[in-house]
Amino acid sequence: MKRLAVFLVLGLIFLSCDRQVRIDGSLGTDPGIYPDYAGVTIPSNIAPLNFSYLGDGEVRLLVEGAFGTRWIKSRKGLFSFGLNRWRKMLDKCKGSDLTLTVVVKKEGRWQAFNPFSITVSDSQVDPYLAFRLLPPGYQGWYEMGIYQRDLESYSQKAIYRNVLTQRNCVNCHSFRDRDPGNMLFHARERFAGTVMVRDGEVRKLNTKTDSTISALVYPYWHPSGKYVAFSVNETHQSFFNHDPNRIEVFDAASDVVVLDTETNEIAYSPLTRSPEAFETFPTFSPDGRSLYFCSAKAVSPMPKEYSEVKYSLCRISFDPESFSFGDTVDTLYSAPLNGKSVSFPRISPDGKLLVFTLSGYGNFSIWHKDADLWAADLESGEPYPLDRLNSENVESYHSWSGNSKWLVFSSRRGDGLYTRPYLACFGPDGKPSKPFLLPQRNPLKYYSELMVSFNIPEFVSGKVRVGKHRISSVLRNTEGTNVTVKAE
Amino acid sequence: MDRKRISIGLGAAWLVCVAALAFFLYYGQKYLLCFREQQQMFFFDWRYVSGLLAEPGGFSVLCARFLTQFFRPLWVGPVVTSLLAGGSAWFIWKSMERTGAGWEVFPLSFLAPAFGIVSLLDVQYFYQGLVALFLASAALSFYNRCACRKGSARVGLGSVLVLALFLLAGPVALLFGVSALVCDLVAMRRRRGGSVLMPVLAVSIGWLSVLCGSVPTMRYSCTPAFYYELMSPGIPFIHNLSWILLPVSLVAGLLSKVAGKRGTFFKVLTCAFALILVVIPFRISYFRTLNRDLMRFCRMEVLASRQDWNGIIRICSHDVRSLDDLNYLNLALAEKGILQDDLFKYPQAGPESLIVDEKSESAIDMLRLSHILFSMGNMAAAQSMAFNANQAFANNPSMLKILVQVDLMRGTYDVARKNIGLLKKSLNYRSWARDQERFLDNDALLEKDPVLGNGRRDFPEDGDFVLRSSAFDDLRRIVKVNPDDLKARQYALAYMMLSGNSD
Repeated sequence: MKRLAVFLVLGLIFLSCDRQVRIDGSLGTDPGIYPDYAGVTIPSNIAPLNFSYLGDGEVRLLVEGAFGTRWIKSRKGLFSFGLNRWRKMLDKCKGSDLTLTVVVKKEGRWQAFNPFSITVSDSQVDPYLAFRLLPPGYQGWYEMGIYQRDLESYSQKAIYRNVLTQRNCVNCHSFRDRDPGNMLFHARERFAGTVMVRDGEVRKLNTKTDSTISALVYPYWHPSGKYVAFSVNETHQSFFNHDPNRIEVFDAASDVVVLDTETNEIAYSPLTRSPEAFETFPTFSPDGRSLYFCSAKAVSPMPKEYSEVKYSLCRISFDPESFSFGDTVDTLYSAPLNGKSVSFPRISPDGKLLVFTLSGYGNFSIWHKDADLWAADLESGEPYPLDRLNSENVESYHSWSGNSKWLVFSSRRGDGLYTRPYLACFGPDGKPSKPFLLPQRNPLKYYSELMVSFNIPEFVSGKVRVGKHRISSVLRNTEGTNVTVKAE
Repeated sequence: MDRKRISIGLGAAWLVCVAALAFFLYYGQKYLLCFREQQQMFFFDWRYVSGLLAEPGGFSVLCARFLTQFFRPLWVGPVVTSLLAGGSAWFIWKSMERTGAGWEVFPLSFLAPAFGIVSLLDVQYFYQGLVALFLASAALSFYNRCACRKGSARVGLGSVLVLALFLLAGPVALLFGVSALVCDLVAMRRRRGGSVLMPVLAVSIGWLSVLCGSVPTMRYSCTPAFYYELMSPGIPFIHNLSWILLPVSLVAGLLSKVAGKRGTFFKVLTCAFALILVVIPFRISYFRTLNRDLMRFCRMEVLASRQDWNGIIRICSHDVRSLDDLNYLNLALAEKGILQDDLFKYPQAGPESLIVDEKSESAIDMLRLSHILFSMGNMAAAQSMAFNANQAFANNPSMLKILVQVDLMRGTYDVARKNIGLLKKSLNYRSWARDQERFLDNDALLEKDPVLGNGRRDFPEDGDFVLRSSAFDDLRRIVKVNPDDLKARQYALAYMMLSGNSD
């Protein structure tokens, strides 16, 4: 037994020595790595940022920082940090940089690429990320589901899978202030309804009324949890003949309404339900006193005039006590003046920054290659592009962490079709750091083989514990509560 | 008769039955079975395999997909299916034998597997249904072989088998549990009351799997609905019959206890009666379940996916049954470059003879439409249709090939690379996918390729949507932008001839 222990210790020493090499020279170039984690800022509780070296040959990684130094040997080009060691490393390096040097054996000599750094932020990110996984669909799907990923490890579990309800469409998951116990999502086609989870209690709402144009669509919770703002949309989808965007999703009509989750009544203002305008993508301010939404002059006939629809960013006051709206609408970003179209306005929980997506036209920026993320300082109101987050491809849906430090957004920059979630840190100046791709155990293999898109990434402050079976039982077996329109 | 002679005789009878079944399937169901190769795909990839194994019944799905990938030669499907059904029958017979049944009821062992084959006439009933029946029969045979143990040990073994079967093959564990209980009752085994535990355990595991959210409802965790397409609201009753008839055939083994007390003549009579009990219900159910339109579609689709245009023309030259048939026929003529010349050699029914229900969202229609739109040069519409069809079938190789080709034409190489990577993990399409890799990031080579280069030139230079009004409006734009596309031009001319429009 003793002999075995000695052999094991010697073996471990041999293996650890085997990783360390003497650097004979420098190549003077940056290493080709995937994902590109060079120069990114990461939260101190994020899962290990494993990455692959894209070149050939034997490679090692030298990691240096406040914790000391560590050598990592690659397996088929993949550098894996152990979860526990990674956590210890980040704990010691909070607020400082990790320096990483990829060393490659060329002609018998170990040569170093230019080192790169990863900054470990003092702050943490919410521990879970919820998203929908679905084919980047034109119209069809087979399996889809809403999943939650533990950001501190690689664990990913389903919140709900459509196989439980005859492969129906499940969409638009939304949390009250990132609270895992208060959420909702919609089920369409078979067993249709809106699943509302409030403090662990699950119920189904039938949200189509005679006086609204559709069932409730894009949700956003009021901070009190009493209200949820929604749009109602008459949405259509067409496939382009020859356009890099492939698909156009457009509304032929839309309005914004607010649901009282206690009385199941919806209310609206004539200003959010104008026949001359398409209103959509509502968002409450963190204090719950304002409702932001996108509004475009109604255009017809659709789809012929689809590219003429441009959404402005608007705001109307909201009184949660009386469940009523203000009399005027402020325009924060004017589409007619600027010639661009706004979608997905999202305000940081500290109320300082508003991030939105800007594209050439329309509201379904998720299919627009020109769609970029912009921000506006809510004090000055001045919008500016978030250049460090944007790429040549689509940047679209985004959401804030609870501490207003981190933004997660979806982008098609990888291959042009499949959206992937990227995280970025915001500094006190309202400028983001270089974003980084959601870590995976083997990101190169994972993302190259994954045939589904990440849709609607939302930070969550804990694990969603409501069971899939409870949700499916409610969808299958309950009639649901009918939503009504509040009397004037 | 001594035991050895009986065994040899039964072995020979089994061989004859399996061979007869294989011939029957070859003549009646070969294209339907061949279509299963298109319906489900197997990938040599650990993540895919482990993902399936993690689901209840995943092993049976894996086996089914592994087997169906070999169904490309028309004879393989019938042979493998008859061996699976025959194997199930043999295991059932072995169980019946252990419960005291005599040779005269041997035909009854084919009752449940025969209805398993009837279920395969419905493409929404997955092949794993038959695999699961085979696994349950094998487990039952093993259980009965070990049944001489003490009552508690026997039930313990049965419970382990129930659990293993649920994990490997899904709710067929309940069928096993009920069948094992029936065997114990028929054979009057010691402490047979305890055997009730097995079906109870199967139901309990099913209930737990529902509570965990692995299976939608008890209907799926305890019945053959598990092996039926989830999207369907209900499962036809016929698919329950193989499950009902397995315990029934075990009970019917009691017949031989009556026959055994009479002479050989009575045994022969019983055997003939048992044979009739199997053959007549099978025949009636088979032909009642048989959907000739579906068979026809599968035949056409299999031929189209193999680009066997002569095969389609040969079939349609003497037997055109529907507009769908005409669509496939004219597709074959266009692909051979003789659509314009031979159009009126066959009965036509207006422009819909070229493409019908062009905006259909039915999975089966979308397969046909993808081929036709691709041939017409309407690459964007073919891509959209192929994507949706591929989703509807959870990976269909013909549709994946179209997706690869259109992405190559568009120059969206990263997306093409993903689908090529997927096809490279399959047995039958690996070499095709490897061949396409040479076009990645190689515009010059791609533009010289007759299919891809021509397809790239087919995209109209406008921002309009596909199929906004009709496929023929799109066709006009394609011919305008690429007059060298022979197939598109033939389709356009054929459309004008069929619509009486000379504009």
